[in-house]
Amino acid sequence: MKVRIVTDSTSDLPDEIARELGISVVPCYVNFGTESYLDKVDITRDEFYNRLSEVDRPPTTAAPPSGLFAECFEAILSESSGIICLHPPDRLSALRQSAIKGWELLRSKVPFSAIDSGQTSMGLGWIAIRAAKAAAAGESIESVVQMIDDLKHRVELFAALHSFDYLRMSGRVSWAQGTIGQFLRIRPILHLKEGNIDNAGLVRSTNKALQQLVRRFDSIKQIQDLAIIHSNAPELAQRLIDAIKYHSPEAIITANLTPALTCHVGPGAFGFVAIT
Amino acid sequence: MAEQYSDRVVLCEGRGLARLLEAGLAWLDHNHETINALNVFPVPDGDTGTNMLLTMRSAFNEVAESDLNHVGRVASRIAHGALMGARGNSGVILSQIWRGFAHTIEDLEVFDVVQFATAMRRASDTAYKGVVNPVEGTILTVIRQAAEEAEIASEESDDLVLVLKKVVRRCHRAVAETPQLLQVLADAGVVDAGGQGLAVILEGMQRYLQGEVMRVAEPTEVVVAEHVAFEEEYNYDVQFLIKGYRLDVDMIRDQIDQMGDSTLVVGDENLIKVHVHVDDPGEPISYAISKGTILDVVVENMQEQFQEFVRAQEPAAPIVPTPKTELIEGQIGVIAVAPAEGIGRVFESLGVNHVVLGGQTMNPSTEEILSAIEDLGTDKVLVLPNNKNIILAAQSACEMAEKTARVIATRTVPQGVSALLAFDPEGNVDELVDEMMESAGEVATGEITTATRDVELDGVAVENGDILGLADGKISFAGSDMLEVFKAVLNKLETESRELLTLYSGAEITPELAQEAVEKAQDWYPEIEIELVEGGQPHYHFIISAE
Repeated sequence: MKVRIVTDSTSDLPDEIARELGISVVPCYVNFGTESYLDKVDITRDEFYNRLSEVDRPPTTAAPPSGLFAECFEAILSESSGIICLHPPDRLSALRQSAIKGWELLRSKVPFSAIDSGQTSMGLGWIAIRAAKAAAAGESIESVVQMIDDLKHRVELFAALHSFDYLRMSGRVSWAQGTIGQFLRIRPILHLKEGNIDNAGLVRSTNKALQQLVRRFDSIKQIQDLAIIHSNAPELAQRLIDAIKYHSPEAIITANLTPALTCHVGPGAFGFVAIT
Repeated sequence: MAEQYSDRVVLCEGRGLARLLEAGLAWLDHNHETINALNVFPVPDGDTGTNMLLTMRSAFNEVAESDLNHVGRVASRIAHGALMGARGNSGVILSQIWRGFAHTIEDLEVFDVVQFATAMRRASDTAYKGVVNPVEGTILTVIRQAAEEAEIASEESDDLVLVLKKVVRRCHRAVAETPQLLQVLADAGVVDAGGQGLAVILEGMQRYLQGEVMRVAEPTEVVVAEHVAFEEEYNYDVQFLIKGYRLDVDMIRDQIDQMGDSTLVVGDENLIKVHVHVDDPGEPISYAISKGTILDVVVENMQEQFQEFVRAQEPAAPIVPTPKTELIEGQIGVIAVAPAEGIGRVFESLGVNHVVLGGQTMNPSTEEILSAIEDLGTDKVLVLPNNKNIILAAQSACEMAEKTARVIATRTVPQGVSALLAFDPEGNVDELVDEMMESAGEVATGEITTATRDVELDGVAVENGDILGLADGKISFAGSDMLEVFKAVLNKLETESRELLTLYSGAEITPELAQEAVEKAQDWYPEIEIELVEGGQPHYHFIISAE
């Protein structure tokens, strides 16, 4: 029996990779007004973007209930020597708390650890992949947790958003509040590292956003793993891939943001996740 | 020189200098519209005559009510007033002229022609030093030639009247020659406005010395007193003191009484108190100046007070305060000059802590910018002038400030917006200046306005009243149809290779017309993203940012 890895849909893990590595992915809720959908379960990505273009206010999100986590854990419990649950930063979401409550419902003696990864999107996704590979190699839960703790400090996420609107309404980033970007189209560039979302620059055009992302990319030394992320903007993702000239383009994972994340950053965002 | 009708004047004392200043101010006031019309670009932009007039008025206010007779101290006050009130590039250079002049004579009780010539030379040198790249064919050429002439003339005569007469003649010649020195003046068919302003000021002084009565046509100070809740027949309440020698109280009372009502004239042959309600406050003041020195001038606009009182009785509309970026101790603060509130809001949304209103024709003074710098709750300040005619005043304010203050020399609103994208309140001041300037350079600016006179410039024939399009400061098209001009400007801005177009609509543009412009632009350039901002700026129908 081996350690099993569980994460949530904000990890943006491509389905085939999750399946291949045996990673369980618990979906988040996306709420259009009072209508609630499980991310990519009750609503497809296409349906989501269609709805998004029709509504005035962006949808909100909610962590899945503890019961959903409990169900997920229960399904894998019998074949697990331990369970590691990976989630976005506590300061940004209640996902990890919900997972812990779900685990408590089971009253199991199996070793369990719910970790604040300090990341989301493929930042979280890459940590889950690395953890799943270590677990598959037969590592103990202690050594996998140790590896994750070390890895957390070496993940960087940069993303250029199309506007401030979604970020402001999401309310999770203090510097995105106020009137910034309300009168003019301003594209913020976010930097997520160790749980903090910093302002990594403001630009007005996609070309400038691309330039800034490439500049950030070039400033990161010794990249081991790379993902290109985007919210329904594959052409921008491709432009970024072409512009950065990564040494092994075949190893890049390109991920389309899950609807639950798009609710907070809006469509048209693009960026990258690098592990050093 | 206290006796203005004497034939010769060999010494000038403090009160004499104040009277000369007033004469220069009065003559400039009389001529400032003509000077405004000398703008190289036929656009309502940074009116030189108005800027110099406001600078001179600020200088005069420092000495108008003073009885100082030490010429050095009077000159220092004048220089201080000019420096604080300086507006626009010509105003700033004029203030430098006064500074150099005052510095030379600061210890003198009185000055003679030789000292006058020395002071003029210093004035010229100081003016040149105040400009990073001095250009000939401007006010600089005129002050330099004035100084040269003063030196030559003072060797031949000890009479200030004669010396000043020669100086003025030389100034007018220098002004007439400015188009030969500066091609843009020749192209525009004008002489240099700043140079002309200086010549006019000196001419006013000369006219006064030759016995002309130089009248100050407008009140030099407006003090608002308690509210008066009745409508008056006359608009202004004027009060002042006349100080003089053998004043005829009864005759003065009769004269003043003919100008308005509620007349009160009391006093003796040395000091008279005047109180009168009139339509033109200049009339009693000018009259009084012909009788002696006037002091404690108070002019109140009674109509304004009445209106204010009425407004105060009505329930005020709720005012939604614009949220300002809070400054934390040690952070860098930003001040931006904006031509209207709409654009000011945009600047505030980008982290500007204080917006100084002013811009096109109303350039803010050095003092306004300086006090904004001093009032900001931090000791590190960046100033964005956002107009080429405000850069010098901003630089002057930064130099005077007791804080670390730097100018980001933005010439347009779009440049200011672009510069702000690179702003970081936690950054290093000197590095930020470079980074923000670099960012400012990444945007192209278009402007659409109405021509204020006929001219042929940059190969474009412009008629007064034409809609005029400028791309990065150069005239690109003139015509009668707004949208046609708009299209030509977009073309000049290479919009086909741009991504984002921002239109700041002017005060006179209806939402319908603004919307039509957006739709047209989208038709012409289907790929580009277009945003519309209600800028509210005067004179400029559209300010366009292309990036």
